[in-house]
Amino acid sequence: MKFLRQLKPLLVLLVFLAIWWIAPTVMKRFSQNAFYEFQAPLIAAQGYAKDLQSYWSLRTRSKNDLIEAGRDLSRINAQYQNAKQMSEAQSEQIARLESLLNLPSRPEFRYEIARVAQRDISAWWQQIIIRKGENYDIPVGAAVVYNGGVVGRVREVHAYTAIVELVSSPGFRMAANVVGEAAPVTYLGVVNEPFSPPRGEALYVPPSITVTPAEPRKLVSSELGGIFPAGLTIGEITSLEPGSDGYFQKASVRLSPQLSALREVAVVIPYSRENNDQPTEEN
Amino acid sequence: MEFDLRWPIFLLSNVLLIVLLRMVNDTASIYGFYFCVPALLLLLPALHTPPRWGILLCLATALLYAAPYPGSPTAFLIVFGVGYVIFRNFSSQLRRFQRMQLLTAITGVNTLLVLLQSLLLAPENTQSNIYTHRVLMDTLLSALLIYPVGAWFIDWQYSLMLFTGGDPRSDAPPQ
Repeated sequence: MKFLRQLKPLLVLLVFLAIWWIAPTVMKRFSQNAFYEFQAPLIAAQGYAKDLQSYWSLRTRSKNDLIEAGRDLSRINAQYQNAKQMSEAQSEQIARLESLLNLPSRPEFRYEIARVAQRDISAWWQQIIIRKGENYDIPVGAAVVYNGGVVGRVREVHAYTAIVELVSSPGFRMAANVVGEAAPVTYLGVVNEPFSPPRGEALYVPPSITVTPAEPRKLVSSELGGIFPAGLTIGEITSLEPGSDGYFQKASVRLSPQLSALREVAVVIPYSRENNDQPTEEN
Repeated sequence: MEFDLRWPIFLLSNVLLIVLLRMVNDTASIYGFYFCVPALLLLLPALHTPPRWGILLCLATALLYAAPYPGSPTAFLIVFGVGYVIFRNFSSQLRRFQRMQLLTAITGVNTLLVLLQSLLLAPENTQSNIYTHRVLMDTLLSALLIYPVGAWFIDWQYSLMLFTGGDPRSDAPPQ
């Protein structure tokens, strides 16, 4: 009798797991969304609390520090404005050439800026939660970037938050290029060692590419994936080793330490997707 | 008509601990480690609630914990369920433990649960030595965190039970 009483919690657990296993997927998904939305206000509040903390820590800075920071930022802004003007001129030239040569247009994007509410980086998942979701038409699968390059990809979108899988997450894959090389490679995230900056790996690196720790090669996004704009920095290839197939090489990619400390990111939303979502005049 | 307030106390306390832990992990992620303490969420529900509510409370906690994470929450249901079963089966002994003994028991069970979680959630095609190293380091740091945080959390829940008119000392472990 005592043995049965000891087994009772285990039996209840097994019964519940059996019910969960045979339950329809829609019910499991609904319960997962319900539990997430229940705690979503707390996640958003956490982000606001961090912003408040940053504000009060900045208030303790001297006025000279803030004036110098403002001056440095205005210089960077001036450089970006110049680069933006050059980019607009080049875009007009590209559009002119496309119309002359009857070439298809490249996809255009808009950027939705979002604050990071929560970071979760462990051996099993590496993700951030941003404070924009369906209320800002964030699509699932959209690319997420920051001023240093690629952040990751939107994995789930909820009512007013979205979960972004980081580029350092195990299982993350994307098409990439080594700067100066035409051949595409595959970048993938890996489990990171403790107390170390994030890193990844690149597969199918051509044998012609060589690197040294003193002269790493930059790895950038490729437009072959169709999600990320081309040319965004992923990381730096610091070492190479022979791949499993004996021809291509496998690279170790050093990612930016900023990935673990991001406060603000930009979600890249292609205009073509927004046009497809809008009803046509005929309809 | 009396209402049993134990399960809302334990559920909301678990929500509070989950939120606080995520805030700590938000900062810890900058330095490359992660705290995971499922055993702390299961102890008092296993000791102080009737079994029919206790297991449901623990599984609801598991679903709350797993909601933001990718994939099916089945692994978390298994981990939390096993933790509840362990605490429930040893509840008579745990109620007689001193505070440090209790925290050490929580640490032991937490280590077991984190290792079980690492087996269930191991990524495919990963370098096993790096993964094992990372999991062991996170487990060790989580075990160290349990002593200060666990002492506060147990006191917090007992205080809430006293505040709502419950009597945790009748079957609580001695100070």
